[in-house]
Amino acid sequence: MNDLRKTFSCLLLLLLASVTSICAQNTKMYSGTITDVDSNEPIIGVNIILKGASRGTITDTEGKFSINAPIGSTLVLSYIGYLTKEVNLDNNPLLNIAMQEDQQQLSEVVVIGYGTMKKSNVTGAIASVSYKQFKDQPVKQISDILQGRTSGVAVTNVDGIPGGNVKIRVRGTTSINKSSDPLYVIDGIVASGLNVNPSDIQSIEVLKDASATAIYGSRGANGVVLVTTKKGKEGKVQVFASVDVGISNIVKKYDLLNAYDYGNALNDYKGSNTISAETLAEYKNGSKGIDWQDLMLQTGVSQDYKLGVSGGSEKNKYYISANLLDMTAMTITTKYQRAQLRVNLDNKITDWFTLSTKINASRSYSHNGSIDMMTFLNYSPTMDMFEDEEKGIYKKDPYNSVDPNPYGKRVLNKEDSYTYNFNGNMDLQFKLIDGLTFSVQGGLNYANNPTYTFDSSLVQADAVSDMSNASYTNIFWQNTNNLTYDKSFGDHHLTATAVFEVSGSEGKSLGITGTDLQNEFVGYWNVTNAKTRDASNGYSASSLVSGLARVMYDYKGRYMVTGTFRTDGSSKFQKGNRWGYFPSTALAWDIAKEDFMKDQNIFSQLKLRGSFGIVGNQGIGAYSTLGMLATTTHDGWGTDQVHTGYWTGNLATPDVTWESTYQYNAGLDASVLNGRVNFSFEWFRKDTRDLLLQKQAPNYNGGGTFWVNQGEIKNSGVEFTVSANPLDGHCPVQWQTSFNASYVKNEIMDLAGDDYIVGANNTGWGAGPIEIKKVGYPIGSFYLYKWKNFNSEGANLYERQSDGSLTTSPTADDLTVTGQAEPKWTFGWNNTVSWKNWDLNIFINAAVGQDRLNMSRFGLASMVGKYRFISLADAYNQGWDKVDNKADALFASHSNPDNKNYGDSDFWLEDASFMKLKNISLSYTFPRQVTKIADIKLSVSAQNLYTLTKYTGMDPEVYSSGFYNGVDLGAYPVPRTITFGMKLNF
Amino acid sequence: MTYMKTIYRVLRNLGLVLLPLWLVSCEDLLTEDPKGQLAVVNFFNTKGDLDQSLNAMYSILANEMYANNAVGFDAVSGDDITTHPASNKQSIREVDSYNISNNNSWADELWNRRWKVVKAANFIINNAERTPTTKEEINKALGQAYYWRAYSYFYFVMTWGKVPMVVKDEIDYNMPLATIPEIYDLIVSDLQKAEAMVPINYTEEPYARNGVNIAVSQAAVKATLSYVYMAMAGWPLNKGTAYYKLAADKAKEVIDGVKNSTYNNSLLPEYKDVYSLKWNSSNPEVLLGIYYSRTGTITNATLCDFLADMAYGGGWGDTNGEIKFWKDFPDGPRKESTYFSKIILMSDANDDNPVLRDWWYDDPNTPRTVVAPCFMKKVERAGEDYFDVSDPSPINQNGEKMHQVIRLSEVYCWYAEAVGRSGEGDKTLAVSVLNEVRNRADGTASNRYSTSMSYEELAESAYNEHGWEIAGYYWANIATRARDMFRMNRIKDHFEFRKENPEIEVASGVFRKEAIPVTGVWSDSKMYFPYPANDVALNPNLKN
Repeated sequence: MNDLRKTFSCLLLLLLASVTSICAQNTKMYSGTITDVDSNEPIIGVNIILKGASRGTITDTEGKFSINAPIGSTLVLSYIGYLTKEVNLDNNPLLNIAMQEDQQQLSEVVVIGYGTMKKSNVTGAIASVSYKQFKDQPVKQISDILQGRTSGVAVTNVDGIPGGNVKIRVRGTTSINKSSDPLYVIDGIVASGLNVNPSDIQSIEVLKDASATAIYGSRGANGVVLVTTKKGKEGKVQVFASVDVGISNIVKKYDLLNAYDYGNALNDYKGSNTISAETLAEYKNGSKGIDWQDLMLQTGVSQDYKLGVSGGSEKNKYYISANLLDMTAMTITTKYQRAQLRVNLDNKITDWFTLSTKINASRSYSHNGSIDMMTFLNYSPTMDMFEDEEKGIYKKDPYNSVDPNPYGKRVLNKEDSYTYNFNGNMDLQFKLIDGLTFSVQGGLNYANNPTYTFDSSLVQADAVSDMSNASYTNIFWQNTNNLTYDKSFGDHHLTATAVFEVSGSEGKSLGITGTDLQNEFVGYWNVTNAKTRDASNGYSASSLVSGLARVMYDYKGRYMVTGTFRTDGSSKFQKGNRWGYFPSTALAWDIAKEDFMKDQNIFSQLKLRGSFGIVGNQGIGAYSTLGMLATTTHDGWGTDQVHTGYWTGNLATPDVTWESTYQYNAGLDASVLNGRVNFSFEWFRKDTRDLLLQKQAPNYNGGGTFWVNQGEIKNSGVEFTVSANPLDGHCPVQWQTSFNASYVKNEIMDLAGDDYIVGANNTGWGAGPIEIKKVGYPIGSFYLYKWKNFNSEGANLYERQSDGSLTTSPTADDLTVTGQAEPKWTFGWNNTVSWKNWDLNIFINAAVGQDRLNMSRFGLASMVGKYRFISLADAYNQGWDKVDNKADALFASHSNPDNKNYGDSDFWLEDASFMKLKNISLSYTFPRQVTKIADIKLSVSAQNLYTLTKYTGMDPEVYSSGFYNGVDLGAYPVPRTITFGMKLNF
Repeated sequence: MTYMKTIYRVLRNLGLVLLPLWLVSCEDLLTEDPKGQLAVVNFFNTKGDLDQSLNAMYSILANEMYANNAVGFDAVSGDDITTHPASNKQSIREVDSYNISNNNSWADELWNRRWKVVKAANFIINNAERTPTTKEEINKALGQAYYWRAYSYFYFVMTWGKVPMVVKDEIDYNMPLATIPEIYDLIVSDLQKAEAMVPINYTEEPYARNGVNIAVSQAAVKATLSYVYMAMAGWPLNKGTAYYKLAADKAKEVIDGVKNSTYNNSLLPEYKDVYSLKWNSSNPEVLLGIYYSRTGTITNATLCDFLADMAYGGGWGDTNGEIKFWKDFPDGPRKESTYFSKIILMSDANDDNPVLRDWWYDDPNTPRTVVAPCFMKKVERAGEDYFDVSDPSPINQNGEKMHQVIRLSEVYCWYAEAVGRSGEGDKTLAVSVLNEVRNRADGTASNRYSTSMSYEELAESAYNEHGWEIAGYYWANIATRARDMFRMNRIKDHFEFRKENPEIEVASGVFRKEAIPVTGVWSDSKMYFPYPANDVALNPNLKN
């Protein structure tokens, strides 16, 4: 540590030495300390510049500085996140200056597509999150940051496995079949996901309305998430490091039958000779039996290390950071690791030429990431673990799940998946003449994703082993050429931008598989050891050519106009349908800036905004419209050889083109009490036309789907945000609070003449299409039987739709539209309370109005398809057959031949509204004065500590995303995590 | 000034770098080039393409028939086989109790998968002709495609009746339902084309292996045609004698071909070998099969047909035998290999000496849920030629027993029945082949049948023999017991019998009856499945 300090001291000296002191007659040596007005903490690295001269200094590690300056001159003090302060110098050489944090966010600059603008001048709907809003929470991924902190952005943790799926929807689902994911842009380069170390983030902006997103044309319809990473700060070298250690556990387990009860249930339903009396006695006394939940679940441990250095001179700045994350999941053997390195450089080569370079390299590794919760929840407690313990062959469930032993699978099989990412981004900026800049930006995203699997033959009797290696490499490149003119003419301010952009993506895949290994010792690393082998490869490419223009004009910051136009040509569509045109316009009026408002001192801002625009969606895969042949790989000749076959694949759909979203937005921004309270209100409407609809082909034509441009969806809603510092600056306790609420209503307006569209039966557990797309209803509406009661023999009674009568045997005509998968309202409430060196953060997230079809419960409480028996304790103990008073029965009879169980019945539909205490953290900072080394912040926090919900499943938020929205087919819940953290700022 | 010059230089150089990029014709950049992928227009360019189109069709056949919800469970309407009264057997139970709903998820699966085969066949039928190879090679491929299309339509017409007639790869939301005679016309015409096109025998792998035809050969087509004529002769077309005669003729062509060794088929001497793993890849009795491999494409048949309280890892209990049919089944080696001769219950399985019990074993103090005989034809334990009922150890759900589409012994029965029902033809040959079947079943040259039988007796004897030959077998075979009953319009009789559900004496003083109640009133609509709701939603012509 001493060496480190020495190094820093040297660097510091060098830096100080580089600041040449000029002694003049009227000069004086001024020195002092700069502190935070609230905390009284010294501020390190404050820029101190002598006004009118180009020289200055910065504060040292104790917030101290000294500078030679003429008496009567002015010092300009600036520091990121603080209000810039000017100090007039008099005869007193001792300066103790307090700086105030900039809570007046109106003067903030926000990033918009292809440029930046003052937040106060924004005409569109943009949600902005700065690093300050999440710095107190141990976030592991960007989606954690967006969740609940941005109005109009619904973030759903689709599964809770480390590195698992997250669904992000900006203002609802706009596309019916394909990609409603927003466009991600990291430092100006389009990205396939949000693979950025959260601590590298300076800010995230979410562009929501057309005036903001139309600049992204064909890819903007689902909203745009702009991520800006940190830049190096001029001045003293800053070193920061942090360590977070977390412990994760499952929040809620299912109450399953114990081995003894299960054994009795087996004898009741499968026949009394299923479990012998002696064995039953062993289950009763606990000498036998398996608790699969106990066996498959564990306490996960996560370790998150971050280290960064930032600094530089006025001309050359750097930001370097590294992150190492290692997580074990709450399910056995599941692991996730991520390592990231980022280097951001800014080089001002001449006054008119600046080079920005951003390099990000990362590796992530996931081990045994596929955990089938349903298999172990449905595995019988009444069995032995091994079929043949000597040979190590695991036993398959003789009574319930038809899948191989989940414990054996996880212990013996291996799934390893790696992702290597490299993102390089270079931006050359030229100041051509006053106000005119030209930038050429080139970006490259390289992703390599190798996966390796091995399946042992020991997972059950007579199983066959197999292995695979697969590698997918994708290269995305983008070239953006931006000419921007930005100038004020008196009270008029004009920003005009013209951009030409080309981008392309190329993916290549290679894979080998082997079946029936002769010696399993080789695992997945010796394909030649396998008796049967197959190989595959593939290629895919797409490109986009775009031109765009934007004009932003404002008068006195009072009236603002924005107009944009973009044209995109996409390779995914065929000639004649290739080019799309996307215009938008927006107006804003800040009433507070009017002369007649001068005398009032309530509003510092009162801005009305309105916008309209057309944005597109091209989110279909490459070659989707071409109609290529499909390949069969399974052998049909009864051999273990590979016989590749070709047959009809997709239907060629040359007429398919853009889907267009017509977006309307109105907003009001108000700032009162000198910016201590800010309100923002938005209303929007999005009409998506020419939907890229995946039309279901009749099964008599072979089934499957094909693309058409048909139909219309409407999304409308309101968003409300308030952020405030309710306690004034003199109070020793500071409280920052920010609350947002979003409402979105989704409605299908037209399906090109069809009344409704249902998909295929995808569960295989005995449920129909489950969801329906029907005119007048939202996307993600469920299509279910109406369950009414049990009949006198304990069979389920469903309501007939034709006449309302009750039946045990409903037909498909009795399915009705009910419930919705997407939340109607989402809320977020983030609070930070500070007192002296203590900080307390409480973050609450809620979603209201969504339903989940709890197919997990259906599978646990009914004998369905692959889950042949019941596992849920209540399904047996509170089932019709068992309860004495039949009115108390919670579940239907399991033995009545008249009883029919349907997973697609509203019996299993549950209100999944929830409120989650997403984060609560308490931290204490030991200032450098005390530790002598660095500011040390110790924190303890809990994520997902408490969930308020009526949902009976494991987690109301997650669901199984394979085919449906909002269907819980054994989805992986988000764990409860306790995190201990230490943060050091040297 | 130098400042401006430098800017100019930088811009110029930059321009030079970027210009080529900008000048790349946008349209060139934006035109897709799906490297490595094939389109219909550049396929069927070589004999290899033809082989690969067949690979696809057989791959789809095997995969779309791998489990009983994919193929065959419709056969539980027959009097030989039934299912479980509760458990997860809702879909199949609806068929067994003659009350199928349009939301039956297995029926949906069955429908979808059968149409996939039609699609794969149409792909070849519509395109193969332009392959630049010999007429013989093209015909070989076309003939097989015609056969499997006919096979699929026969499935449709027997299960759903009227269906859309899809012969081209086009999407049509308004396709009308073709009538039953129209569909039979297509089946017969496809089979006649196939008959002329497919080879007598294949010689090359994968079309033949171990001296056995794997792909569709001439004898298989002729046999199928024979059974299709029998079906046309019976319900609902009731074309009668003329078609029985056609059926007899086609069956006789197969029999003659076997006798003069044109076809390499013969009856296995012992019935226990018929469904054994021993002969799985070289069974000379099988005219056509769907082949599987444990290390390739597997079937999920091994556990389907025995009960959940039985050992051997526990059955899935999808089906079990009907008691009356078991009772009437003549004793002998055939019955021994058709059913589990003895069973081990799960609770007895862990003992060192597991108790072998009769299927009807039950104890009022510890009652069983289902007490019924179980079929053993599809049960297999890896590496064992014959399944051993006295070994309770678990078996894997993944198996490789071939699905037997047509066996020679069936053709013998059809011939005898067709001769009998047409009331003319070679009774001597008919009785002789029927005796061949029965003698093997009895394990002795019992020669039970003689030419002194009336044509009617001959027909009924052959009908019964066929029922016993394929009892409980529903794995892609064209002639299940249910189909025999269907064409003879005897399903309704069995419906009444099941409603009555009498106690049957299965051993001295031991009475058993069926577990699934059958109720309601017979209607001929019960002969068919309703159209799956998903397709009805797309095409209103499918509304019954």
